[in-house]
Amino acid sequence: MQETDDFAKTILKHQALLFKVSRIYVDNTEDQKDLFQEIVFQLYKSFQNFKGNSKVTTWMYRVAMNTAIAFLNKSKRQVTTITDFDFPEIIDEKDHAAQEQTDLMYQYIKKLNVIEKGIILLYLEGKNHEEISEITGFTKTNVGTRIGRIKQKLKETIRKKESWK
Amino acid sequence: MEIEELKSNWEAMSKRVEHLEILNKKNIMEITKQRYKNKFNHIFKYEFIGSVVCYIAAIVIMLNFNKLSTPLLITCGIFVCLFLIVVPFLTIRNLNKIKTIRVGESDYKTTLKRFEKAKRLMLKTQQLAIPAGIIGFLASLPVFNALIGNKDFIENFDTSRIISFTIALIFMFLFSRWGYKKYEQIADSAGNILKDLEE
Repeated sequence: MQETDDFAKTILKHQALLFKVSRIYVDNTEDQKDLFQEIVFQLYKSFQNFKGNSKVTTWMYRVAMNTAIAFLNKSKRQVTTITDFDFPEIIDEKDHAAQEQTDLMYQYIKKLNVIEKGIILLYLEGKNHEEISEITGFTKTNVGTRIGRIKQKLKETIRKKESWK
Repeated sequence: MEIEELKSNWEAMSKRVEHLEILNKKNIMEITKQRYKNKFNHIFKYEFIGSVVCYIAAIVIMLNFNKLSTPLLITCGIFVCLFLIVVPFLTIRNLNKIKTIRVGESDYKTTLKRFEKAKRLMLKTQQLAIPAGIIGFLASLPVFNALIGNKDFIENFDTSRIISFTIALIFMFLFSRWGYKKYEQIADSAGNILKDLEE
């Protein structure tokens, strides 16, 4: 019981992290809600084995991102939510400009492939190369090379999009 | 929007998201008890039922194998039996490979590699099952015809049967060619991810 309480506290503290991972990998809100829920369940399953050798957030990113891969690889809509909670579709109800910026940012990121999405998510979350390497399994040098390439790709996507305006 | 702007937008969004309350303790407790349906298990169940049907059909053919009197019927019978046994076995095995990958154990790269490999294998199997399915279907016609005691399958072919058989064949060919190409595209994309992971 104590373990479940500790787990619930951890999730409540870091649910924003799970929200951001869910939003980056799938498009519609219903799928994001399902993925969010699946991540929580997978974290619970792996919580007993989490020995605290790494930061809690490192462990959470790893399980959350791996769950997202699993979610994308199993057939579409494999999980159906029956637990009742609201998954926010719009983050900035009052600030339309901020919401537009957020939507645009996600649009750019969603054009990346699954490897790039994972790395850019961690980069944007402010993780350094060592932490990204620990979560993803790529070497530190490889992480640096990949980030450079992703930045270039994003720059190109942004330039194309803005030249259309 | 520049890259640095993207990063500062992300940081701003992160600050706003920090205040969101998506789950409460009760929701978390419900999720930990897995009080939601997992459709992947349902898919596995459907594949399993399909396999049982295939195995029953294969057993029926094997039990009545003595009714297949000509070399052509025997060859068709052997092919259909092999098809009905091997394809469901491979499908279940591949689905099981995907299902048993544990997401809490490895890093992102390893997990991605395992999934892409399993997906590629499954797609390749399904891709091969398309032409095999057409041959299986064609081979099964004279076999089941013989099993239910009808006269020679070829002798019974009149003009109307030839026309409907030809139309069915053309549709099957077009549909399977489309399906084959679709599988190839997805398998190639999985292959590209694997190549990228190796870099």
